[in-house]
Amino acid sequence: MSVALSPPGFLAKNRLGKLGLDRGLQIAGVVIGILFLVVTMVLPLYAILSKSVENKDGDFVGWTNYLEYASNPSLLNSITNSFTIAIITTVIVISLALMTAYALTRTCMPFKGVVRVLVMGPIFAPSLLPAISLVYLFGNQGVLKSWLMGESVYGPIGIVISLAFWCFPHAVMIITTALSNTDARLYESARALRTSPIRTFFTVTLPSIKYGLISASFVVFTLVITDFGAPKVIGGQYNVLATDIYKQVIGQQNFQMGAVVSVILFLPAILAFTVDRWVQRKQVSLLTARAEPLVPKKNPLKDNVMLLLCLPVIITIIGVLGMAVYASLVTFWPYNLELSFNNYQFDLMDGGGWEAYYNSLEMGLYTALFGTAIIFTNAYLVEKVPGINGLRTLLHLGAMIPLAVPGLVLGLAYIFFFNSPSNPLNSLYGTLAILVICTIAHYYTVCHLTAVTALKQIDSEFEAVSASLKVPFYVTFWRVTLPVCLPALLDIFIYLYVNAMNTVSAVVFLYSSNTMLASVAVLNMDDAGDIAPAAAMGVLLMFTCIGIKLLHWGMSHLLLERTQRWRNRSAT
Amino acid sequence: MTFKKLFSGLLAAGAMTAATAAMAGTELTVYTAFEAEDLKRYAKEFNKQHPDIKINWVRDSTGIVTAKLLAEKENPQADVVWGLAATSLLVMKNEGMLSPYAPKGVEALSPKFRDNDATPSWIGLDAWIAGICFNTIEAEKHNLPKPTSWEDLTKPVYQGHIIMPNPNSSGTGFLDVASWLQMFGEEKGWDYMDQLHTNIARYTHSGSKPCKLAAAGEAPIGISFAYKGAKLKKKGAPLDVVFPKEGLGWDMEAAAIVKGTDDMAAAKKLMDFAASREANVMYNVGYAVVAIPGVAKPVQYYPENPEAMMIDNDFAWSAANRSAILKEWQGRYDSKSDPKN
Amino acid sequence: MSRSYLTIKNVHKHFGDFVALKDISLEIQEGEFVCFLGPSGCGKTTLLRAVAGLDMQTEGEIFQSGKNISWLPPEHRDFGIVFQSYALFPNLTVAENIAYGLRNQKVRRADIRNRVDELLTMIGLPDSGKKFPSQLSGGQQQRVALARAIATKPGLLLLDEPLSALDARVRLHLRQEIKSLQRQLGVTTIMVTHDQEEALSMADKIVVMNQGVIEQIGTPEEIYSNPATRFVASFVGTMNFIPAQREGNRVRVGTREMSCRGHHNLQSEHQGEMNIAIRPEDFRVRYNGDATNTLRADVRNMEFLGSFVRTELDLDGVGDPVVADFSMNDVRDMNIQVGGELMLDLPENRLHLFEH
Repeated sequence: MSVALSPPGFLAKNRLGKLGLDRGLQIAGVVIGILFLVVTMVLPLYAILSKSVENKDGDFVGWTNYLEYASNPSLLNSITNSFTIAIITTVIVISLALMTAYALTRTCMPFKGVVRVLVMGPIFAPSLLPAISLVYLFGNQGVLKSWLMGESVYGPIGIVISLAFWCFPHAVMIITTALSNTDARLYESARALRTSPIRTFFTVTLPSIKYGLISASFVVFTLVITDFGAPKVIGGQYNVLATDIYKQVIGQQNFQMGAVVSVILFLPAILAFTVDRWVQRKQVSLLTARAEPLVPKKNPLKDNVMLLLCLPVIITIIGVLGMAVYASLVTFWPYNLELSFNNYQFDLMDGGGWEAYYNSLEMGLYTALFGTAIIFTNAYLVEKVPGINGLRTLLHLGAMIPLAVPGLVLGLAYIFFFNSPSNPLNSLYGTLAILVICTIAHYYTVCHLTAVTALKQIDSEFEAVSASLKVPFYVTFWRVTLPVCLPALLDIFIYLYVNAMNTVSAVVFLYSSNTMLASVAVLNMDDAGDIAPAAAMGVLLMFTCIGIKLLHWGMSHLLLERTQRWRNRSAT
Repeated sequence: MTFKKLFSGLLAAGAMTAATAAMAGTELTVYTAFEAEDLKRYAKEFNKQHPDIKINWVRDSTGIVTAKLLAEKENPQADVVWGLAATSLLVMKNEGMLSPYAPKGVEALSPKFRDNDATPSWIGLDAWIAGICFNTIEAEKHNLPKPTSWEDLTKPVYQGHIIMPNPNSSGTGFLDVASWLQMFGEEKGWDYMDQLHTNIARYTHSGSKPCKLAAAGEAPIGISFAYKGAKLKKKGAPLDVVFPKEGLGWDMEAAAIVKGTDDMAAAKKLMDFAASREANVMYNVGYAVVAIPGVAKPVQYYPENPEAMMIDNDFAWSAANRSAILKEWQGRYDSKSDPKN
Repeated sequence: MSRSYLTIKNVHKHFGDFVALKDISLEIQEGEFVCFLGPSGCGKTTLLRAVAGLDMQTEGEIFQSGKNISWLPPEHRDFGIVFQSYALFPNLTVAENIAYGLRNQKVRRADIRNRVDELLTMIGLPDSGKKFPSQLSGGQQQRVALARAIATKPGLLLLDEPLSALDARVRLHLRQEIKSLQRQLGVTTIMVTHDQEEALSMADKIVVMNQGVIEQIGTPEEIYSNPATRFVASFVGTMNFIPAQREGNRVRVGTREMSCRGHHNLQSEHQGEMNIAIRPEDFRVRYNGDATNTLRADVRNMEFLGSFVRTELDLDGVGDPVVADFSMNDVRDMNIQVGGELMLDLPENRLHLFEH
C-alpha cells in the first residue's frame, strides 16, 4: 500500500526537501480533504455501527440487537413494506418520466418550454408538501376522496403518490440527459432501412438510454426507500424502515434499535449506489463516442398525441402544488373556506415560527457557500494535482460515500458521534454549524461529481503550463480554473441551497431550539395536527426556492454575459 | 442570527462561556414540551421576578424532548426541564440525570404533584388530562351518537371513525394505554384495546393530532387530551370535548434540575418560581388542574371538577412497565396494522 | 565545440510493471533543435515530461546547463512548454495569456505590455491581443501558446506534438515558422512528434525511440540514409526489405550474388538469413551492362503520384513484391508499363543489411 501511495524516488527523504512549497500545499490540501470526509462521514458511520452492537450501557453485545430486531414481526414487516413502496414507485416514476422526457427531447410538442419548467416544480418543495396536499385532495375531507373508490389515502397509496410526485423531476432530468445524448445517425439509418417507429423505439431508443434508465431507477429507488417525510405525513399505519428509525429513536428512545434499523436501511442504499456507480462508468464510455445531436422534426400528429399523454402529468403537478397553495390560504378547512393568511402566522404555532424560516435561509446560504468552496476545492485536488495517486483516489472514493448514506442515518450518526463528550468537536452539537456540516456531507457526492465533470472539461495541461511559467498552482486556480468553472460552481451552489432548505431527514435529529428549520417545522406542525400551517410553511419554502432559482438563473445570465464572453465559440 | 453564531460552536468552549457571561446576566437553557403559544407568557411571568435570568427555550414534543435529553445524557445541554411529562422525568431520574432540590413552598403542592423522595427530584406543575374530541358536524353526517364512556368507543357504529395517538411515539398515547390498563386491569385492559383497535382508523404519532384531525373533520372522533380540545373549541371548531365516565388518564407536566448544570443558583430560582402560587395561577389559564390545591379556577369546556374524574395514576408502575407495555402493544396492533382494518 | 546544455543520464521510468523508459542517455547542445521521434507509446512524451519535471523519472539524472535538476519540481526548472491541445486559458485574452508568466515575475506593467506587443508581432498576430482564444483559428492559437512559452525567455523550449491537432496546410506553414523562430531566438528546443516528415524537416538532431529505448541519434540526413536499426529503417521513410542469405562476406538474393562491400553493417558477425534493404527511390532502371546487383523484375502495378510513379515489382527469386519510385522521364524513356519487364539495378552503396 505504502509503495502504491508514494512512487519510489518521489517522496524519498533526501528529495522531499526540494519538493517546494506548492507541492506541500497540495499534499496538505488533499490530506485535509480526506480528514474532512473522515470526520464528517466515516467516523459518524462507525459510531452508528458500533451503537448497533451495544446495549444501553454501551457494552458490546454482538448480534443481540439484530436478533431482537429479527424476532419482531412488525419491524420485519417494515422491510417488505419499504421494498414494496420503493419498487412500485420506481416503476411508476420511470414510466411516466420516460414518456415525459421523450416528449421533451424527441418531439416538437406545443408548450414544450412550459412543460419543461413545470415538471421541475416538485423539486423545489420538501417531500412533505405533496403528502400534505394529498391529505387535502384525497383525505377524509378531501375534495377528490371519491376518486379512491373507498380506499384510504393514508397508507401505501398516499406514500406512493407523494413520492412518485416528488421523485419525478429527478428521473426526468436523468432520462432527458440520456435521450439528448443519442446519435442522430442511428435514426437516419433506421429510417433509411424503413424501420417502423415502434421498432425503432425498441431497437434504437431504448438500448441507447438503457444506462440512463437504470441509473434513474436506482436514484428513485434510493430516494423512496430512504425518504421519511412522506410516510410520516401520509403513511398512516403503514410502517417503513425510515419511519421505524424515527419511532425507535423519538418515540421509544431506543437508540440501539434505531442504529440497527439504520444499518438495515443502509444496505439497499449501498446496493443501489453500487449499481449506479457501475452504470455511470458504462455510461461515460458510451458518451465518449462522437455523436451527431438529434434535432426533432415537426410531426403534428405525434406532437399532439404526446402533449395529450403528458397532460395528466402536468395537471397532477399543477393540481397537487396548487392544492397545497390553496389549502395554506383556507382559514379553517373544511368549515371555513374563506381565504386568509392566518396559517402563515407561524409564531402562534408549534414548530419554531418565522425564526425557523429565517434559520433555513441562513442555513441554506452557509451550506451553499461553504459547501461549494469545500467540495470544489476537494474536487480540484482530486482532478488536478499531479502524483500522489493513492491519496487522491482515497479522496475521490470518500466523496462517493455520502450518496449511499440515507439522511436519517447520517443525522442519527451525527448525534452519536458529535454528542459524545469525549469528542473534541462536541461543542458543535446544537449549533447551526452542525446542521451546515451535516447537510454538506449529505449532498456531497452529486456536487463532487458535478465539479469533477466540469474540471475534466478543462485542458489537463493548464497546471503544467503554469508550472513552466513559474506561476504557483493556486494563482492559476484563482485566475483560470475558478472562472472557467463558474457555471458549475453556480449549479452546485443552487443545488446545495435548495436541498438545504428542503431537507428533513438529515437534520431532524440535529436541530436545537435556536436552530429550528423551516423544513422540520413543516414536519412538526403536521405532526401536531397543524396541517394547514404545515402546508403554508411548505408553500413558503417552495416559493423561496423558486425565487432563489430565478435569481440564480438571472445571475448566471448576467455573469455569463459579463465574464464568460470567451465562451461564444467553443474552445476546441 | 449572525455569522458569529454559526461559528460559536467552532470556538473553544471556554472562550464561548466567557463571551456569553460577559454579555448579559445569566442564561438558562430550559428544555420544555409546553405549548408553543404559552412560552412567551411563561417567560414573561418569570422575568417579572427575575429580570436578570434569561430563559433559552428548547421546545419540542414530549417524545423528542425526552429523546434529546436521553441522547445527551453523557453531556447534558439543558439546565432545567420545565414542562415535560412526569413519566419522562421518572425515566431520567432512574438514569440518574436529575439533581434533587426542594423548591420553596414545595410543601404546598398536592402530594400527587411531587416526587415522593424527601428531597424531590422533580415537581409536578399541572395535570394533562385525557379527553375525547368529538366533531358534531361529522357525527351528524355519519349518524354517530355522542360517546360518553371509553366503553362506548368499542361499539361497531364507530368503526373507522376513531383516531388515537400511537403510544410508541406519543406521550398522550401511552397515557391512554397506561390508564386503561390501570382502570380495567391488565387482562381486561388489553381486551378493551383489542376491541377498540377494530374501530381505529389510524394511529398518529402525536398526541394533539387526533384532536386537530377531529376538528378538521378528518375523523369524527379523536382520542386526545382535554387541553387541546378546549383550545380548538374556543377557536370555533365544531367540537365537543367528552370526558369518559370511567375515569380519565392523566400525566403531569413537571419540572426538574438537570444534573451537571453550570448555574445551580439560577436553576433553583426557576424551580422556586415553577412551584410558586403565581406560576400555578399562570398554568391555570389552559389547564384545569394544577399542583397547588385550591388555586385552580374552572376552565371553559372542562367538567366542573375534573380532579375527581382523574384516576389514581401510579406513575412508578407506568415507568417501570413502559417497555413491556409498548412491546406488547406493538405486537398486538402495529404488526397487523393495515390501513384498511 | 559547444558544451552540452542538457544531459540525460541513465533515465528509467516505470509505471507499475510497465517499463516506459529504459536506460535513456542523451546529450543536447545549446541552441540545438532536437526531435524525439517514434510511434505512440514509444516513451518520447514520457521522456519530455521527465525533462520538464511533470512526471519524474524513476531512476537516473538530468542536468540542465550543468545544474542537476533531476528531482526539482517543474516550477523550479527553466523551460517553456507548448502542448498539442494549446492549453490556452480560455477566459483570458490573448495578451493576458502571453503575459501570464511575466505578471508573476514582478516585471513592470509597461515592460510587460512591450514584451507582449513584441511577441504578438513576432507570431504575426499584432492586432489579436484583445481577442479570446476561442476567436482564433487552431494555428493562431498554437502561435499564441508558443509566444506564451517563450515570453519569459526560458533556456529550454519543449514542444509536445505541437502541430498534430492542425490541418495539413497550416501544419506545413507553422513548421517553417517555428523552425525560423527557434533559429532566430537560438533557444534549445525539444519537440516530440510521431510525424517523421516533421522531424526530418525541422530538427538539427533526431532521437528515434521505440519501446522505451533510443534506437538512433543523428542528423535527419544520417537517420534517413544510414538507419542504424531495422526499426529506424522501417519507421523513417519507406524501405524495401528483401530476404537474403549471407555466407562470410558474400550476400545472395535467390541465386544471385549481391555486392554490399563497404557497408558498415557487413562488419557484424551475423550469418545466414538476412535482409537487404533499399529505399524505393534508390532502384536504378538504366541497365549499364554490368550484371552485378542486377535483377529481372515484372511490373505488377503502377501508381501515378505527380512528379514520380510508384511501381510495384515482382523480383526474380523474391517472394514479396517490392516498391520502386521512378521519375516520369525514366517511365517514358524505358517504356515502363504494367505487365512489362525490366532489369533493375540495386546500387551497392545504397544497400543496407539488417538481421531479421
